[in-house]
Amino acid sequence: MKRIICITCPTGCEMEVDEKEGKILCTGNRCPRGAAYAETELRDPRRVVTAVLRCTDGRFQPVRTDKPLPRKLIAGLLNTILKKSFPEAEPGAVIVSDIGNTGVNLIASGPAR
Amino acid sequence: MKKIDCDVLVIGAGGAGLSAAQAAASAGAKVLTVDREEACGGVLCQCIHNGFGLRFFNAELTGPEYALRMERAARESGAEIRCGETVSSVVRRSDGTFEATLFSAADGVTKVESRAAVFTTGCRERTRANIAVPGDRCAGIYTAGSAQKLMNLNGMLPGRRALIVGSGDIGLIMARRCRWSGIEVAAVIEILPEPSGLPRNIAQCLRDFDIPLLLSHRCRKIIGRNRVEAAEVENMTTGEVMTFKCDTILFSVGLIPENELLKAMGAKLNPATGGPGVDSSLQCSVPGVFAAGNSLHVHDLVDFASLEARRAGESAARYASGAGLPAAELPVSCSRSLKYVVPGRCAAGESCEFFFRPTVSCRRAKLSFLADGSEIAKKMCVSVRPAEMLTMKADVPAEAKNLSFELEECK
Repeated sequence: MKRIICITCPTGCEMEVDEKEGKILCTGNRCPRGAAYAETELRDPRRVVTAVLRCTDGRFQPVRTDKPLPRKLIAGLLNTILKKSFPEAEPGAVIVSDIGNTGVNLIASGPAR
Repeated sequence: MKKIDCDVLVIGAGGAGLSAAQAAASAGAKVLTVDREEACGGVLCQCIHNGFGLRFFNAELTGPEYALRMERAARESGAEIRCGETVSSVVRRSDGTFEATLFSAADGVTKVESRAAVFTTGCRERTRANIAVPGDRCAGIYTAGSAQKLMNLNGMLPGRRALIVGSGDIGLIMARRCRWSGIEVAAVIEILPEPSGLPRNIAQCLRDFDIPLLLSHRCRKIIGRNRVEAAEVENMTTGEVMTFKCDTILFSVGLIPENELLKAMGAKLNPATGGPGVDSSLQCSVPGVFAAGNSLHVHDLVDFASLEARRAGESAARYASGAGLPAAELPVSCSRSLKYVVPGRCAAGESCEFFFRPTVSCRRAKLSFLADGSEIAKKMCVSVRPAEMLTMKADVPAEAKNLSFELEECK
């Protein structure tokens, strides 16, 4: 049995999660999103990654992954974007596509400053 | 000198101000929104993390995305937004209209004449000085929000190894931001026996990185000749003192509503919120002046600030049109387990949404609405904590003298 906090919304349900016969059972969640979160958290934990990029003109642009990225790929993504400069992108535009063949993209989340 | 005439002047174009502007313009008012920064969005611009907008937009957004959506909606509704304009004073003239003095690098001094004013000026961070931490006055000491601005808007790192004082959400978010930027985090310390931030931020910002959260601990002394070298941290229960080596200290120790302009206008402030006392139209003690968002009371979620500001914008548009607002003469009070209730006055027979900040922590509690001592509505609340605001919609009875709210723990 594992105790985890659902990060899907600000309510932050405290859940007890158990794996029995290959099935993940959870209690304490107030909505179905909690059960879905528990499932991925135990099998393949993922997080939305947010950061700022250096633009080629020296300004900085906020970016995010469009879906939660497997945690084991986060460090690699951060290393890639820390080392390089990128041309400014329109908010919503893809900057790095299909990170590690996961289908997760890095997108611009706001204008450069 | 430039002159602008409008129905509603909105001061501050953050998550609350943009929403108030949109609501007022949608109600038919000619709206001018001003902000002292070069871009609108307020603190949202530096909050590059996700988690905003679930209530207001039914989507999970980052701060800049939330700001962009709000800005577009405000402009589409017809509201004018002027950035880089600082308001130095607002005066209510004898005829009941307002004259605001603005200045900017681009236009110098501008006078704005309006029939109503909405104050959505946000809040400031409490600093080391507010909690009186002794020790050296060296470089490397920041509020969490100023470090966030440095990192996310200016692309600078505040240091290499940080100690975070205070477990508010900004501090927790900054702990993760530091780790994702290659900054070590020695610990997050909290003077209270329980964390101040949302549980999900404890999970994804501290536990994910194995950052220690030391509850009932305080920063006793800052040590450093030119730059921070260490901090002494005291266990409040045992008295034990530890020294953490670090070159940076981030303070995330609460927010103070910013109401300097309102104070100068003679608006009455509520000591429990730090914001102005308001009625159910979110009108202050000065007629025609409305307030919403973090300058009214500190919110945990921008979504609530935007929802609240919608009401202020609608009320301001109505006031400016001369249509009049319900006479909110019934005072609303609350029991000791609630730090405050906003609004503090409402009108008989209306339907109103109330905001509360509990002073107690418990798993389950009953929030009751009482008219002349008898319960007329109730709401069950789970996981009640001072860090989380409570809300309740209620119908105010047509005949009542005393309205009050009580929060009672359920065993």
